[in-house]
Amino acid sequence: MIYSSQNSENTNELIRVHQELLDVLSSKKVGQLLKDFDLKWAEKSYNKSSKLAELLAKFGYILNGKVTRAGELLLARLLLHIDIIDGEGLEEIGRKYEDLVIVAQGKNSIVIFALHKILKTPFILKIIRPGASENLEASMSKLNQLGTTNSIVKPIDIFPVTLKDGVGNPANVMCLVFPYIDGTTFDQFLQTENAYLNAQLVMSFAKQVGNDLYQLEGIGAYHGDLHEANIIVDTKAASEVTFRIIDISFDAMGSRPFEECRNTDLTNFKQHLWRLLAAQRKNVPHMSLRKYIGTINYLKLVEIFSAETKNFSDVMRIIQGETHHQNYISAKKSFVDNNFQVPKTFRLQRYEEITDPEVAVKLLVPFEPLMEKVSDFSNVYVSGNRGSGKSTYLASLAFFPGTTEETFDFRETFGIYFPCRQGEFRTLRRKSDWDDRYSSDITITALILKVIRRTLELICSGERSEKIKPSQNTAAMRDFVERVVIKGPMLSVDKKLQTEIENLVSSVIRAEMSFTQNLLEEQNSNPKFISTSDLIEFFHVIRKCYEQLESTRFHILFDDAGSPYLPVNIQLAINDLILTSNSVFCVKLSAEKLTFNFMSSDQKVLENGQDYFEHNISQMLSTGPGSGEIDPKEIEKYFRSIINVRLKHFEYRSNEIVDYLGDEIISYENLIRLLSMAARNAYYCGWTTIWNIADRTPRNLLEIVSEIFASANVDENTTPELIPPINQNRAIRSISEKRLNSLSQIPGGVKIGTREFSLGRKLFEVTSVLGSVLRLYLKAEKGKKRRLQTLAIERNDITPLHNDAETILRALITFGVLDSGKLGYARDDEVKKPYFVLNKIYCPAFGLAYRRDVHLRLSRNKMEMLLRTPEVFSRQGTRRIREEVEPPLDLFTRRLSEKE
Amino acid sequence: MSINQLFSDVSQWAISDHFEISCNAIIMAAGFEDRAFKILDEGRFRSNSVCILLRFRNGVEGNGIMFKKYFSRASEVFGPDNVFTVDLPSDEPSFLSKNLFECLRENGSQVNDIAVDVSGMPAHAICQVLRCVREFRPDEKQSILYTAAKEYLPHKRDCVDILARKNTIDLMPDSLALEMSENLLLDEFRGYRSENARSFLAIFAGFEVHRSAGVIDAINPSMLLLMYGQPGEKQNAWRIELSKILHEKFETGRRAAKEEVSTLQIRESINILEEYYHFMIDDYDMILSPVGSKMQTVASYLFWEQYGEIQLTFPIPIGYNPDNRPKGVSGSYIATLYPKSTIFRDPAADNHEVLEKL
Repeated sequence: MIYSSQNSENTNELIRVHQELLDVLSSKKVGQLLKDFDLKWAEKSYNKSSKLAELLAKFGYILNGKVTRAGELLLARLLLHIDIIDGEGLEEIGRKYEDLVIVAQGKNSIVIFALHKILKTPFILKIIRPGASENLEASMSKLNQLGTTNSIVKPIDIFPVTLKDGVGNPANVMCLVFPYIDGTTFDQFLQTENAYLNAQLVMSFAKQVGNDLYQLEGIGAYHGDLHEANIIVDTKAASEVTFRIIDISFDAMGSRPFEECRNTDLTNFKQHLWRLLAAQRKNVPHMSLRKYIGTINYLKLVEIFSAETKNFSDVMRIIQGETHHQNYISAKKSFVDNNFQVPKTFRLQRYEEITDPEVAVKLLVPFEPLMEKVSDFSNVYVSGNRGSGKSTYLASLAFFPGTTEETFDFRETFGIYFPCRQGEFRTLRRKSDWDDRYSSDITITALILKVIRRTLELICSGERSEKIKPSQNTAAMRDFVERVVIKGPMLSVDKKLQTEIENLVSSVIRAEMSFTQNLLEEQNSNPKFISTSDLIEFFHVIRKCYEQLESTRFHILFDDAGSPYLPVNIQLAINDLILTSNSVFCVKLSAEKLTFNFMSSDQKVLENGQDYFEHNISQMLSTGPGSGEIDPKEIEKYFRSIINVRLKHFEYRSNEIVDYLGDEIISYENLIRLLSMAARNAYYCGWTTIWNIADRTPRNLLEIVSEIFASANVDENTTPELIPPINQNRAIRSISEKRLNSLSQIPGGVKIGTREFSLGRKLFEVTSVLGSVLRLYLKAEKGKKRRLQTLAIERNDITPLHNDAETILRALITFGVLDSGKLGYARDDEVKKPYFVLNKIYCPAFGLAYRRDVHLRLSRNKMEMLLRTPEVFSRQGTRRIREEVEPPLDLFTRRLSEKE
Repeated sequence: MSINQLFSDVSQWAISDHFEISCNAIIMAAGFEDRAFKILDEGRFRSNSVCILLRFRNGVEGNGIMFKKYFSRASEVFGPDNVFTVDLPSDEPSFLSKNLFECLRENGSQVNDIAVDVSGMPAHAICQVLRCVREFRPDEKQSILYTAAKEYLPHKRDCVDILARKNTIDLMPDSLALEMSENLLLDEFRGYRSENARSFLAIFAGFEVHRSAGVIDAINPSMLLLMYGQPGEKQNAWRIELSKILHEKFETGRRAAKEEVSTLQIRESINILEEYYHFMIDDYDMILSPVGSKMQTVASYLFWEQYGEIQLTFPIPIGYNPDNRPKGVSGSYIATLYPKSTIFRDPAADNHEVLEKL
C-alpha cells in the first residue's frame, strides 16, 4: 500500500501532544518570544528566564539547561531564513558564486542554485541548518567511500557560512556544494505523455537505484530524502535510461534516528517502484502488469514489496537471485503434470497435433505436388474439406522458434503465422459509423501493426532460442519503429535486462494496444495510419538488420481466415495485402469453403490464377470420374505413406498398414451387393475401403485406423496380423456415426422463413435425410446384376434456389458434408451443372457404398424441400422409390426435429 | 494488490418478509425466470432510488408482456420518473454497454451506491453491466444481488440414461438455452493474444454442453480447464456428475484439468482461476468462458478486471425456451464488490468474511 493509516495516526498524536507549543509558535507574538529568548548560536546560550525557554524545556527541547539538537533545529527553522534579493549573510557564498536562486527552504536545509563565478558552471548549494547534522564533515568523508560507479550525486565541497538569524545574531552553518544535474525529475518523467514506458523499465529502476542505495547502506549511510524530485531521469543517454539520485541528505536529517532515515529510503524506493508500475499499467490497459513485465520480474517485485524486505541488501539479493524463479519453474512443471491429464493414446495420432500446429507440422507427410504449389512465393488460398490438412500445410511454412526441425529454412521462407480462429481479429470488425475509406485505412493499419509485432516477436524468440543471431546493427529497426509505429522516441534499459529486440517488441506491443484501444473506444479522432508500403519497408529493414534474413521472403499466413473468425473488413484488408505485388512478402490463407470474400477494400474482385492461386487439397486428391490429373495409384500411395510413416514413428512392429488391415477382404462389388441386401455381414474393412471412406482427408484416415487399432487392442507391441473384419467394420461405423452426430453441434443459427433454427441441427437433419434416401436407392438395386450407388445430388434445372435453401446448401459445403467442386453434363439435357457429392465418411453411417455411380436429380422445388424441410422431403420426395422397393423399407429411423 | 480485496464473501439474506436494499440505484433484467422478479417485488428501497431495467430485445415469445410486468412493478416501487429502460438487443449484444453508459451519464449524477441483481441476466450482460458501473463509479462499492430458483433443469428423472453412461450425445438434457449460435467476443473483453499462439481455455461448465462444445471448437485450446459447479445441497450431487459425463468427451482431445467449484461463492472460483493463471499465463493465452452459474460469471468478470489480458468469451444460444427456465424462488444472496480504485479500498478488506447482513 502506498499510504499507511498507522503513519497518519502517529502524526495526529504528535500534533495533539505538541498542541500548546504549536499554538505559541504560530501566534503573532512568536517574534517577540524569539527576541527575548536571544539564542547565541556559537555558545548555545540563551535567556533562561524567557517564556520560550520555559516552554521549550517543557517539551524536551531544552534538557538540563542545554538546548538539545532537536531544539537547535527547531530554532533554526524559526530563525534562519534567507532572502537572496538582499543577499544578507551570504558573503562567503558570494565570493565564489553568483546569480543565486533559492530552490527550496526545507526543514533541514536551504537549497540554492548558483553559477560559479569563474567557471560559469551551475552548482547546487545546500546550507544545512544547525542541529540538522551531527557531524557533517565526517559524514561527507564517509560518502567518499562510495565507488565511482555509484550514480548518487555526491557533494564536491563543503565550507562554513555565517548567516544572521531573524533577530540579528550570527549563526555558523555548513554549506555543501553539489554539481548541478540537468534533466527530467522522476515525477515529471512519469507524467510525460507517450513516454512509451518500457516493460523492463521498472526492473532497470530497481536495479540502478536499488544498487546505489545498497552501496550507500554498505558504508553505513542513507539518502534521507528520496522523493520524486530527487531522482533525475536521463532518457537521452545513448545506451539506456539512467537514474541519478541527487540532494543526498545523509546526516542532515535532524534528530531522526539513523534506522528511521534508512527505512524512509526503503519506503520511498518501494513507492517509486509502485508509481512506475502504476504508470505502466495506465499505458497497457488490456494487460496485467504480471503479463507485461513477465513472471520473473513480477515475482521479484512482489518480494521486494513484502514486509520481509527490510533493507537494500534484501532488495539486491532479490534482484540478483534466481532461486525464486527456479522454484517457480519446477512448481509449474509439477502443477501442469499433476493437474492436466494427458489424453489416452490416440494410437496413430498425438493429441497435441490437433491443438498445436507446431506438433502437427512435425508429423506432416506432405503431398509433394501440393506442397510445392503451396510453398511457392505467391499469394495462395489453401482450401479443402475439414481435416484435409489445410492448416498444417500453412503451418509448415511458419517459423516456429522453438522447434528443432523445420520444413522450410527460415533463411529463405519466413512464415508469420496467425491462427485466426482464436479471436485476435474479431474485435477489429468494422463499426457502424466508419465510412468505407476510414474503415479501410484503420483496418489495414491494425492488421499491419499485428504483422509487425508478430514478426518482431518471432525474431526475438528466434534470438532467445539461438536460431537467429542477434543483429549487430539495430538502428534501422529502431528508426522504423520510432518513425512509423510509435511515432516518438523509444527508451532503452540495461541490455542485460532487455535486449534491443525485446525493447522493440515491448514498444510495438504497447503501440498496438494503444491504437486498438483508442480505436475501439473511439478516442482516436485523427489516427496516424500505416500503409502497405510501410510494411514493405519494414521487411526490407529486417532483411538489412539480420544477416541470416537478408534474402528471406516473408509469408504472412492466415489460418482459418474465413467468417466468422475474420470479420469482413479484415478480409478486405488481407486482400489489399494480396494486391500489394512485391518481392518481399506474400500472403497465404486457409479457410473453409465460401467463408472468405476475395474482394479488396476498393471493391476489386480478386481473380484466382491472377491475384492469388487456390489449391484445393480435397480436389487435388480426388480419384473419381473427372477428377484431377494425378494418377489414383499415386494418391493411394500417398495415403498409405501417411499411415506407414506413423507406424514407423510410433515404432509399431510392422510399418505396413496392409499387414494389419488386409486388402480386398470383401471386394467392392461384394460389399455393395451385401449393403443393398442390408446383410449383417456387409463389413467395411480392408485398406482400399478405408482410404476411400476417409475421402481424401488425412484426419479421417488417421481417426479410422486409430479407432480400428483401439477396438482390436493393437499397439506397437502387437504382432502384425489381420484385424478381424467385424472389428474393422464396427470401428469404421462408429467413427462415421460420430461424424454424423457431431454435425448437430455446429454452432450458429439459420433463418428459414421467419423462424430461426440451429444450423447444426438443420445440417444434421438434411444429411440424415439425404443419407437415408441414398440408402433407399441402394436398396432398390437389390437383385440387379450391376448395382449402382447414388452418392450425389444433381440439379436438373438451373434456376436459383430460394435464399434459405442456398444458405443451407452453402453451409453443407462449408462444413464438408457435400463436395461442390464439380461440374458435370446432366443426363437430362446435356447442360453442364454443378453436382454435390456426399462426403464418403458418412457412407458407413447409412450403409452406403463409397463409389459415386449415379446422381440423384432434383428439381429446384425438390432441392429446396430437401434443404428447408428435410422431414417433408423424406416423406413426399421419395414416394415413388419407396413404392418400387419391396418389402417396404424401414426408413428414416433417425430422430428429426418435431418442431417443423 | 490481491484480487481477493475486490469483493466480499457471498452471504445469504436473513429470512424475512422484506429485504432492505441500501443502494440508491438498482440494475436488473426483466427476465422470464420467477427468481428475477423477487428483489423488485419484495425489496424495500431507499426513497428516491432509481431502477434501471434491462429490456431483452429478442424474438422470445412473451418478453414484451414480461417487461410490462417489471416496468409496472418498478413504477410502483420507485415512481415512474425513477425507472429507466436500457435495451439489450440480441442482434447487437454489445449495445448494452453503450446504452447503459448513456443512461448512467444522463440520469446517474446522484447515483453512487449501485446494486446489480444478476438473477435474470445472461453472462455477457452481467459482465457488461459490471464493467459499466465499476467504470462509472470506480470509487464506490457495488452490491451484487442474486436469487436462486427452487427448481432447475435438467431433472434427475430425465437423465437416468446419461447418468448410467448409456448415452451421452443423443439424449442431451433439455435446457433453457437453445443450440449454440456464436461465440460472442465483446470488444472490452477481448484480452490480448501473444505470439505463442497456444491457448488455455477455462470453462465454467454447466449442462448446456452444446455451448461448451461451441467454445472449444472455436478456440481449439491446447489446454483445457473444466470447472464443474458444486451444488450446495447434497441431494443435488448427481448434477455435478451429470455435468462431468456430458463434458467427458472434451477431455480426450487435449490435455484437460478438472476442478469443482461452488456455484455460489465467488472466492472459490477466483482462487482456482488464480492458481491456474499463476502457472499458465507465461506459456498460454488464457480465455475464460462463463457458461456456468451467475456468481461464477461475476467471478469471471472480477478476474478479467484484474488480468486484462485474459479474454472473456460468451457462447450465445440461438434463443431461449422459456418453458425450460429455472422455476420458483429460493434464497437471495448478496456480495459486495469493493471500489475499483485501489485508493478507496479498505486495506483490511482481504480479511472480511461476511460484511453485510440485511
